[in-house]
Amino acid sequence: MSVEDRERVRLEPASRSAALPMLTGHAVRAFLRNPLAAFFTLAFPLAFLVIVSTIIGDQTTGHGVPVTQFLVTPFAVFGVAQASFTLVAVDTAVLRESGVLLRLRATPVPPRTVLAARVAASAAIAGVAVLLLTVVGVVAYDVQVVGNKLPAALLTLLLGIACCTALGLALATVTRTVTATQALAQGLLIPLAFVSDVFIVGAELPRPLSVIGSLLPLKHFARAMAETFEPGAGAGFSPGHLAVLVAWTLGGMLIARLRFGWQPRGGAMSRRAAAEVIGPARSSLSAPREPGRGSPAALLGGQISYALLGLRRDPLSVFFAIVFPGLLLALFPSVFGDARVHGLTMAQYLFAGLAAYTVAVTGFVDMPEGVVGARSAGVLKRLLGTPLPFRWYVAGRVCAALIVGLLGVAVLATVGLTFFGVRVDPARLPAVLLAVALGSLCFSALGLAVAALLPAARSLVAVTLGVLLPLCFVSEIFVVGDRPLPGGITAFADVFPVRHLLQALLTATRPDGPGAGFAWGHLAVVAAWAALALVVARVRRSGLT
Amino acid sequence: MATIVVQDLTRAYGSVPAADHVSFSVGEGEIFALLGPNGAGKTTIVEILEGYRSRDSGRVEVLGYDPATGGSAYRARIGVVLQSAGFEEEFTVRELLRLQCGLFPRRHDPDELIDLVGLGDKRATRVKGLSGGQRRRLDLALGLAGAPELLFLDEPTTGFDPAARHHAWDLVSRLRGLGTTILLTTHYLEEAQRLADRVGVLRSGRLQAVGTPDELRAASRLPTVISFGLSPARRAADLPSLSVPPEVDGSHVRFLSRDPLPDARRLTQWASDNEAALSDFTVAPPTLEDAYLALTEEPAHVS
Repeated sequence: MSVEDRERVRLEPASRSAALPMLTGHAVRAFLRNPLAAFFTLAFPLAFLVIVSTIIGDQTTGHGVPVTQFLVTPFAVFGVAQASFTLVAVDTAVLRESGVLLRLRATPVPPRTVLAARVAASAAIAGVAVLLLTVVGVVAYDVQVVGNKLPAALLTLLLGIACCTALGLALATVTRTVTATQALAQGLLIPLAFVSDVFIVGAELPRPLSVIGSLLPLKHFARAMAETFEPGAGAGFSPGHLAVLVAWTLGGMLIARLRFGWQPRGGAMSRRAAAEVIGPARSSLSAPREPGRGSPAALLGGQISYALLGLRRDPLSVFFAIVFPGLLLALFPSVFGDARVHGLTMAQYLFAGLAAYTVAVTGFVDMPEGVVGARSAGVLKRLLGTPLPFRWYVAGRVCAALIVGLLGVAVLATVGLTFFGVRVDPARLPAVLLAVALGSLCFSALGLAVAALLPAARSLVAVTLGVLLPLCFVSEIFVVGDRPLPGGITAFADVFPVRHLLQALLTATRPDGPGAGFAWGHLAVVAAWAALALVVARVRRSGLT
Repeated sequence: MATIVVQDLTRAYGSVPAADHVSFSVGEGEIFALLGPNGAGKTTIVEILEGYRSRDSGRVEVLGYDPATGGSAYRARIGVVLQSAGFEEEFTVRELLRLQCGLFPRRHDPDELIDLVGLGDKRATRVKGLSGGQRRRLDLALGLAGAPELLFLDEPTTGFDPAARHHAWDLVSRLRGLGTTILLTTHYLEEAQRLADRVGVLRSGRLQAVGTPDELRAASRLPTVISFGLSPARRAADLPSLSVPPEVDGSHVRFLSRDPLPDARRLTQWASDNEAALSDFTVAPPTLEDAYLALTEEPAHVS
């Protein structure tokens, strides 16, 4: 084609309003192209609704209303928070750090339109999430939409979306990197959900936790939403709760407005470094050292300390792996009192459950995330160019995961033994350590297999955590009541290693149990999963690097 | 009227001046290249012109606007191709171009732009499937979406292989044919020589020189290098007297002449008088690269 062809320029009136729907549609498409985000926002709350409804769905309240009536709104609130808070925060950070915002800034579209489009898209997604939960609730679990409270439900939903979005934007604007945004968003939302009537409804919380919940907006959103699903007369508005949402929305908008930036922030350092004057360069090198005797132990030690160093530089993931389970262990018995679970005190049961959770998270979520991060940053490419055999790198990562897992279990043990009367028979310590070590190896191997099967992924958290959390619930890692789960669910959970690791740990920590506490049958299943995962990771090794 | 007018532009980061009383102007349809080592202030000046960065003092007028306050109306008339701008990897080439074109009131056709940059067969490919060079071409196409009167090109061929570089140069030359004014930053002197009508050389925030590549070379007052091979039968002492004594390395003779024409004439005259063959007789005037290195005072060789 000739140059003249290019002269054909479309001269259309500058329809400023056309940019908003276009950018909104674009943002929604971006969401749909990211199946992991879609899964986390839409399928995840739905999965929880289904799981919890299956477990306790046949119960009714004192007034004869099925409990599922009260299950929809907490999960809906969680879905909205995922879509409007987490997704908006992470998305904004990703677009900023990758330089997409920079390109948009060069167009005549004003900044507020760019932001408005993202907000509109997240609102649409949040709306779909709520609709999905409501429809499934109505169709499958006899949930009743309270017609006279529908306007209140819509207004509450809109205010909740606005509040979450404003705070999501604010979070993105005060962070420097995508990783920090991701970790902070989840790190704030999940603990908050526990103290905000989202994950635990109607519990008597210790006063400090209750106060924290009341100061932050999520609880007000959850309560205002719950009110609109409460069968009965009245319009269902909760002016007090809604006022708090409005206040937080304004606060979030203010921060976002003051701190918003288009420029990538993570790269600022390297750019400054380029401006530095290069000092006088050395003109010769001393003779290279002769090769030393690099023993495998030294190689492995080096790789372990390298992996641990990387973890130390990422305090948020360490917090989640080590401190967070300890907090949960402290929180649950405080909330539920001294209820007994499967014949154990709640703390005793949760100690085993959370130890299994810690081992699974460090091996299956954190470790592969580090490997995948190194892979997408090209670090693994450079490593493959060195004489270091790749298996030593992997071994270093796996051992580091084990060390972090052990630290997490040690924290749990300290909290449990000191404050909650958890008892562990010293004679069964070998059984505990074997279960933890085997579990860590198994989940690390599974994590590596997932990383190898998804060679293009830049982040696995959505997949790994998205698989692990529901599995933890059906495996009874977290307490969901003293009643046994429906047989189908337990049979399903029995296929996967989470439940077997839990059983192995329960056997090893059960105060009244017989023998040395080795549950060989469960340990064998865990070992079989480890072997299978190692084979997959080995066969698909090229996907790993 | 000049497209870009910059007068006494100053911008400092703390005590470090990134732009120190910089003045230049770029005429309509001209391609102007800003050259300089890393940290010389190229990016700062370009970002001020794009309206991304504030200035401490000085006058800046681009297309009749002050970029700092031009807003949407200004952005509708410029195009920016940034080295650091990213893509949404999950979208196809065509989808991204349609979106980008839709953001401008006056715009090119997305499909024509795809053809223009030679991505016709990658139209439906997602960005994550593009090579580095293809990404840069997509980048260029996105920068052209709004049919800009002025295009900012930030190191457009960094990381290109030689063939891709020549393709990109052809592309930029074609843009010149469209009457687009281009402000280019580059590390490649060959690129500046090839594309730019005029060049500005920056060092530590100061504009050292502005002019056509030929003017810069002439102004550098660098000597011309004359070199040739001498058959073993001849001795260097037999050579005619030259403006400077030549350096002889075996059969290879080389000297830096400030008076190249008389020296060359004496040598060729001597050669034909003595029937001596001057193999590989070369008269090399200073290149833009030599002039640039002299202006920015970077050591020519890092040993």
